[in-house]
Amino acid sequence: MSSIVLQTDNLSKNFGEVTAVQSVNLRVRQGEVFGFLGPNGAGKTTTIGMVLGLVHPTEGSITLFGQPVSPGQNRGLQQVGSLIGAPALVPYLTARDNLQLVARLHTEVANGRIDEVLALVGLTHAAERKVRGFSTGMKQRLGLGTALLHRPALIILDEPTNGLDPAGMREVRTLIRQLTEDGITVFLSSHLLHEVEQVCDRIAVIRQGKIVAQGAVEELLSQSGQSIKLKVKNPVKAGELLAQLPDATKIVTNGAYVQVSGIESETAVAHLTQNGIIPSEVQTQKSDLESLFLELTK
Amino acid sequence: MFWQMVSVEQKKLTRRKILWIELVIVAAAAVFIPLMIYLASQSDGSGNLVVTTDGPVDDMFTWPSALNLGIGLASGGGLGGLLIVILIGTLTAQEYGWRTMQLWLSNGISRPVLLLAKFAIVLLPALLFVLAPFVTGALTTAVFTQNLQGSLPFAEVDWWQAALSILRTAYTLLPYAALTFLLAVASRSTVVAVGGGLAYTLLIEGVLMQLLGLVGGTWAKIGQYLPAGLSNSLASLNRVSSQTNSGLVTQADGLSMETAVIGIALYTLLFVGLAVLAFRRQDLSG
Repeated sequence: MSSIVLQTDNLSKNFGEVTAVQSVNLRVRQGEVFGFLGPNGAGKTTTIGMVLGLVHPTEGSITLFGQPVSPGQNRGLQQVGSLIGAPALVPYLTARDNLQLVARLHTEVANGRIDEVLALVGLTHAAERKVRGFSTGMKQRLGLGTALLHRPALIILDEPTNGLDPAGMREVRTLIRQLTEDGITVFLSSHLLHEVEQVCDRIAVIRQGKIVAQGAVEELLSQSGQSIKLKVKNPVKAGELLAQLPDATKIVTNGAYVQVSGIESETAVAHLTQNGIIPSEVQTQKSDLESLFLELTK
Repeated sequence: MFWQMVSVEQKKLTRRKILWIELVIVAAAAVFIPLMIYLASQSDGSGNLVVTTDGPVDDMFTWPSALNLGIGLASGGGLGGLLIVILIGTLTAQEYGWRTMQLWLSNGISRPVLLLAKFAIVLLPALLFVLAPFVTGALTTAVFTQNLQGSLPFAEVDWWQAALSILRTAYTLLPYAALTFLLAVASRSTVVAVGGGLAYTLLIEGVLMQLLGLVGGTWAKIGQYLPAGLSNSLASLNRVSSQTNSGLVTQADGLSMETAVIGIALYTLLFVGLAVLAFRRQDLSG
């Protein structure tokens, strides 16, 4: 098994009476793309803030590459690149100057690396322009550049495609895959579930400050099960019959169709046929990340 | 990491327009004031110009005494104090809005190192705010001196004392810079930092010193230990003339130099120390 690069144990954060994060245990393995999902206000940014030593945990611990991390002990972060929310940039400096500032903190960054990164994020043409005149998308690209500049072993991205057009989003997805090919671990927090499903190996879902699911994407989707959609002449009657089956859940009728979860298609068809309803069409629908997310966070 | 962070701060500072604008203001003031005094002294009151070649007023725009003018202008309680408050308040608090504080921390810079590097770079504008008016004031008054005396009295200028005066005056700016720095870190607001710093420098400290002076006795002495009192004690040692009793030269009539130096250092350390403590406790997400 790959080694763990980021580990949180029992991580909690209270803001006065409000519990923002409660006993979060995360395990991010080397070389994987780890998705961190949750609705607005679920505690994603606070968790990431604690991982980056920006927010004081009320309880619990964080380990990055085997080193403990806290606001008072953040040397482990030198191997991390991050882009959290709106990119942190000095507006009166050029794109190149902003990268040079970050480069001054990492002696290992070679001279040509800044041009390389500018090309990687598609900003070579704007290298000498002041950041205050950049569009949101350009700032986001530059923020990504500052995160990648020192070739971090772990990159933490919070909504990295914010402000990007569809082509830019696709470029970021490709970039993330490229990073993992280079052995870089990616921790990705995003609202775009389609994006996460496409690039992530494992995910954790947080709701009201608690982790409600964590594991490989395929594994979680298979646990979530599938739904069966049947076309019948009398969907209401079919729904009532299916409700008699002990494992049947989420029975929904819609026009000529009845939808059911929790049972195999063979069981549903046999039961309806025995009771005089013969389905003219049977569709098996596999759960996607969006339905899993909605199910876990409702 | 400290020096790396200092180099980051130095680049950010020297690229900021506000630094250069403030330097132009203080440098221009050192040209404007002796010019006005010179023009006023050349007038007989009826609008006619009268040329005089000596007298106490002449000391204010001729060398060597006039070299003190630029230095005095930049002191903690003067224009220099106001400008450093505006500069430091703006530089420090704006970083919260830009989220660059988070950027440096998430690159593995420790909180005390980040804050100490930020304050260390304050020494540069403090020195420039004294040096710039000294140079422009010296050039301006050189013209008047040449005009009135026919030559520049280089032999009468104690350049070593002038250098010490520049350093002493720059040093008097530190408690005001440190107080504004503390306000910026604690409030994360430019308005609070600059407003609070200016209110203290322009109003609170002056009123406090006057009130303590009115009460008299020990209370009046306490006033001398406020940053302005310490700065005045230190500034009273400033001289540029090799003749100790010439022109604007005054002897220290407040606290001793050692007391003033230690007092200013203690205020600076206290305010910066409190800023570090406040910063260490802050949550910086979002």
